[in-house]
Amino acid sequence: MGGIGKYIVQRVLLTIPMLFILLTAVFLMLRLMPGDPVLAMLGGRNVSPELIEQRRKEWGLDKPLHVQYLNYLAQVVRFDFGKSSRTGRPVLYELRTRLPATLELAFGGIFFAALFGITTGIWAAVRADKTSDHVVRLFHIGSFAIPIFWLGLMFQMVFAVQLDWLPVAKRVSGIYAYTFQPITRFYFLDAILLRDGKLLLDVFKHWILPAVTLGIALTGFLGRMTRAAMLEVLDADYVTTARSKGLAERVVILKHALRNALIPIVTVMGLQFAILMGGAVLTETVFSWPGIAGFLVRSLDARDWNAIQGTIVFIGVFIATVNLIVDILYSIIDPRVRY
Amino acid sequence: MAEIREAFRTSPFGKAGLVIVGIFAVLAIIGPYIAPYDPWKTADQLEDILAPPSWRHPLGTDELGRDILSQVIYGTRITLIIGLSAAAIAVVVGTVVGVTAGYLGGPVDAVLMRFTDSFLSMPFIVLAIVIVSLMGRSLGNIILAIGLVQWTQAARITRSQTLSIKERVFVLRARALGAGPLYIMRRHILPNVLPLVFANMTLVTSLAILSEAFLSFLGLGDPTKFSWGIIIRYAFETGAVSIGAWWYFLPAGICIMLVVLGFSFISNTLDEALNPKLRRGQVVI
Repeated sequence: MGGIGKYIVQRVLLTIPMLFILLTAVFLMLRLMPGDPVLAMLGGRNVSPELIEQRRKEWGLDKPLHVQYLNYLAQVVRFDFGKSSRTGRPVLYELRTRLPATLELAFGGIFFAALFGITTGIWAAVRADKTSDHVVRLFHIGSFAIPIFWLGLMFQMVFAVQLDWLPVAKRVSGIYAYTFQPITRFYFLDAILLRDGKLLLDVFKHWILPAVTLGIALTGFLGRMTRAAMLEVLDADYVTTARSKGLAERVVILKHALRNALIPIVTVMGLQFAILMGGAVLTETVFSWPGIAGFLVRSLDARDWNAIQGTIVFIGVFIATVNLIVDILYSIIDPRVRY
Repeated sequence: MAEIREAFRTSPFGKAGLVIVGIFAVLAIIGPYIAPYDPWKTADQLEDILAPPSWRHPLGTDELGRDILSQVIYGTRITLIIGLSAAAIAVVVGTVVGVTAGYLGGPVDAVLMRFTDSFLSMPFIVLAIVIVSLMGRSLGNIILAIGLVQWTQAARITRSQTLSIKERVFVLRARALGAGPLYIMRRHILPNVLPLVFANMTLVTSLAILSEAFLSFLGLGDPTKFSWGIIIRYAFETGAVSIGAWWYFLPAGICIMLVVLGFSFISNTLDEALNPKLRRGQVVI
């Protein structure tokens, strides 16, 4: 157990300077970028100098840069991102209430990426260098090249508009917009807690297109990883042994080979979280999904300084935390990682 | 050079990549001369508004009656300019960081590489949209923003290459003769990392083209130009999906996909030629 404890401490200590650099970079970027936040906020036209001065004071922008920096760090450590000037509510509240929507989408993305990526990856590895392998690999490369927002639009057109099977956008239908009181804001969970089968179906129908869209963005990556990892283990001695024992090929591939191939795949999947969040920004925009990304885009339009800073820091800290947790879990599953 | 030619000769994907990129490069150069219409010219008659493909407008028209085919053709030049310039910036920044970190080592290396790592924990697209929306939606700012978020790969690749080159005899000998670090980096390290940098640049170009499309789609494109991403953005704003105007956003998306595929094929082939052991699998977004 001592080994794990030491590894966790080491890993946490490594994360701290990384977060610190990230926070500093965000601060410098927002302060040193051309464009005065106060002027931008007030619209820039015919604003009295007194008002500008007053706002500067309110936001602490009249202080020297190093004081601003220390204030900022103190705020971030307390997770206090100030108030959004657009909505008037604390930024943290805005982020917290939108996070479940983004997470529900992200989990969907991971699920479908794993489903498509791992199955096609195994398929390609087992049939290495045959025609079906080439077709699958082309599909993997193709899924890198498709602009994900465009794919989302195509899905909307085919499945929502032409076939009319699924709704075009949003998380629930209009009829629920006023009657449904979310509890956890994870709508799947809420529908189950409320024991409302119709609502659950409605939530599922809204979720499936954006989740598949986001999933395809990561499919190529996972598929290639799976193929490479499978090819490596398929040559291993224990797989040959399993085969020579006369086990069915299915059992050899799924039980002996895949289990070992999964270890690197799962880690890499965790580390793709940053990319997943980036993809979520685009998917949320296409499907009017009320998550964190939409909040960031609208805050940028409104030059809502606190909200912009808060959202970036929040996303950065969130991703770093997920990576940390994945690493630690991984070291528990596979002791070889701890060196 | 011989290995590269051999790799392209034997790889059908490499050849396909060269052909695709070649065709679009020609289109970018001669585009304005062969486009059937001025892409900004609005319709004179009502039936030309959001018209489906016809002989007069092979790819239909948008909500102002402007010819989509002409927009896509004009967009080729803008898209390629953004992709290549952003990739050039990314590769230059990455190479400077990577070679410096790798050659100097020690604390410089540690600081630069931690900086690179913390960059990786931020989604590229989030950083880029913040940079562009704060600096303003112009072609130059978009190029700069994409370049500034895509340099990390080049930094990692050049760093690891520098680490192995700096232990080679010719570098040790130059150092023994009293050559300074700047001289060695410029004269001995740089020429040896350039082929890898060049291969990486083709990949980064495809990522940059995708990034441009992402930014434009989020409404951060240069409004005075037509790029493929901007065309899809206009289609999205118009609600082309719900009125079934597939011709509005289908062609631009296919063009993005083809060019990105073309550049990735070339980059894969170059990689195989230069470094058979290199395994890849990077994604944009």
